[in-house]
Amino acid sequence: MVETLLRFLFSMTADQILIGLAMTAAAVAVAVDWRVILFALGLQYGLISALVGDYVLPQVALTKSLVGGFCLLILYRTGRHVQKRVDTSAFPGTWIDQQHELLPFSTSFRLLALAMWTLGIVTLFDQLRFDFVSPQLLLPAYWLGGMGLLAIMLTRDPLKTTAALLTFENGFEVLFTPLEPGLLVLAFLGTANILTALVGAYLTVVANLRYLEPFAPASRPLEAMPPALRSPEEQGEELL
Amino acid sequence: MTLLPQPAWLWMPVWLPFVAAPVVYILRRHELIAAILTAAVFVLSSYLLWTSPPPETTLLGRPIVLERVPRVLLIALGFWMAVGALYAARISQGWSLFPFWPLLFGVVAVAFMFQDFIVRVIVLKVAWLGAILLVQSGVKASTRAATRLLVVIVLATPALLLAGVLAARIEANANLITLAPLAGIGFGIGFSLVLAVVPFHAWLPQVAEDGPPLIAAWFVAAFGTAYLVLLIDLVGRMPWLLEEGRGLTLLRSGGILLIAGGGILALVETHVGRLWAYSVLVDTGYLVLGIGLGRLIGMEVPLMAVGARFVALILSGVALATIRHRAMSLEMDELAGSASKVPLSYLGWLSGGLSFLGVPLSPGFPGHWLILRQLFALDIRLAWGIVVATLLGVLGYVRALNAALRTAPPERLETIEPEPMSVTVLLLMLIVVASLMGLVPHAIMPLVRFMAQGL
Repeated sequence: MVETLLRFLFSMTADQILIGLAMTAAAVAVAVDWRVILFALGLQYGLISALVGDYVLPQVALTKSLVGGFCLLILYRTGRHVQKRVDTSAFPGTWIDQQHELLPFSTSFRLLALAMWTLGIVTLFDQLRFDFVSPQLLLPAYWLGGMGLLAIMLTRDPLKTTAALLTFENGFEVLFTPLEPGLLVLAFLGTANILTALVGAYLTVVANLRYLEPFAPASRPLEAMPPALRSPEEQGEELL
Repeated sequence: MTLLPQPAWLWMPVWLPFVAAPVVYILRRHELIAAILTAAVFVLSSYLLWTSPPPETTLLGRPIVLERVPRVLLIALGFWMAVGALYAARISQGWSLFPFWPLLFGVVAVAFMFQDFIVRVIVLKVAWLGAILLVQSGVKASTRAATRLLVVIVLATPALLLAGVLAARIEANANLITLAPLAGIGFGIGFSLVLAVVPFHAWLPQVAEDGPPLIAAWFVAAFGTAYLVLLIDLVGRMPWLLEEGRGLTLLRSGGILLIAGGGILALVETHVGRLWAYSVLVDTGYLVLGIGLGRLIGMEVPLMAVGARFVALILSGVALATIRHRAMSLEMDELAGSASKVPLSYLGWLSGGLSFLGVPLSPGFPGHWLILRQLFALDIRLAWGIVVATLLGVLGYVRALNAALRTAPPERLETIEPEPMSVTVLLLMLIVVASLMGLVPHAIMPLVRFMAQGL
């Protein structure tokens, strides 16, 4: 199945990849449900491998999907864990409600922002091109970077922010990998991406502590908590 | 097959922290043992880096050389973290500090072993990502500071890397010099984000508010200084960046923005941690200005200012952590009376904070004064503007001290305990070191010249 998928990805035309990337990045920017976002991110990694496969060795291109797979695994497990606890929690509201409390952006606002952002990206592509970068890489790079930025602005949820950051990072790597295809750089970039997902997952858990722990502490410094709530032994436990 | 050449002991300063981290992790619940072990690892690594630095070699075609400036930075950072670890044994900054610090020190060391700018930037990003977990250990439920740190580093690294690739191409082919402004903009964006240049500064006050104070100070000492060293190195290697890459304009405007923004924001701040962060911004501004004026005043001046910054950071970090631990808050409204209960901590906090602002007799004064003197010669109105902005920062500290000196109800005062004896001794030692640096600044000049010769 993996082989079929890879064969399909590498047989895609540049236009098909471009359309796929446009749709998946836009989904990361405007979607609200974390499952849709992670699904779009997963497709994005496959399409990026296919895109850069024309410019670097196929093995190098495939490492993008491999790293993306690790990132998705981390984020998916975290998302599922939090979602389960939210569904069974005594606290009212859903995970999505909680995000809307923070930034009450409606779907129409998101779509309007997407339309305006699209205009900006197209203008940027028209105005700023470089001799040493193929336009076939530059447009997806601008698009992914732009959509990543838009998604960061439209959310405060750590899981969605992480997906947005990985989308932004994908846009950068589309440009950077053909320029610096060295093994060492590739390894460090992959490590950094996996760490980004790990930190994002950790922050997602921390941000949803009220669903995960029966007596989650308030958003105050440790020292400010009532001393009765913590014994000296617990002090070490409460911190990370 | 081994990745690094033999004998392995020559690489001990690099691998020792990585080997020690799991051992410290196992011992993390025994805070004193973990702290002593962590401090010993830092001292030993720093000593070895000084006496027998790792030899030059290559890894997968990339040269590995530990140059003078990063070497001294790592040694200073090692001693800084040793002091910090011993302090954290008495007043906890999160147990994760003990196993994470050696790991992160090792990663920063690895970053500076590589001569290649690209690899350095990516490895520093890895270290920064790891450090986010330490910042988050200060407060549960609020992830603002940690999320901002995550966003900042993910946005800054691509700008730095693309600019780095462009700069390398220009170095290889002088005909591409027309691309220099683009490289300058890339570096400008990247460094503005990681050095918290106004208006990209929001992450630093947030870290100072949400994170444990010592971790916030360490973050600036490790990453703020690492990126400043990276900037100094870049300007030294590629002087064309200053003229053709508009580097001079970017450095000077960045420095002015930092000083003006930091001073004004410090004046109106009501949280002592955030106030500290704004004074750090002012100090960073002077350093960035100093790098911009490097051709006129020499790189010794910013390097000297970096040395003073290290001392001020550990002193103010320890002092702030003690104040927060004892007063249970850093909000000015809640600090009334606390100065009478923890006076030494306030003295340390003032001494460190005013050093960032370059007040006379503080460690930061000599470096700031030399930069300011050159600026007076170049543009007197701008120089006066910077003096005024710095004074606004000083007023911010006066406000905070006034709040801490106000009388408080006896029942409130009863809840604030004085500093523990070990912390008192540590604070006294650090205050003495800071005072000596302020009174006899030329004492560190041999070290500064040693570094400057390596540029």
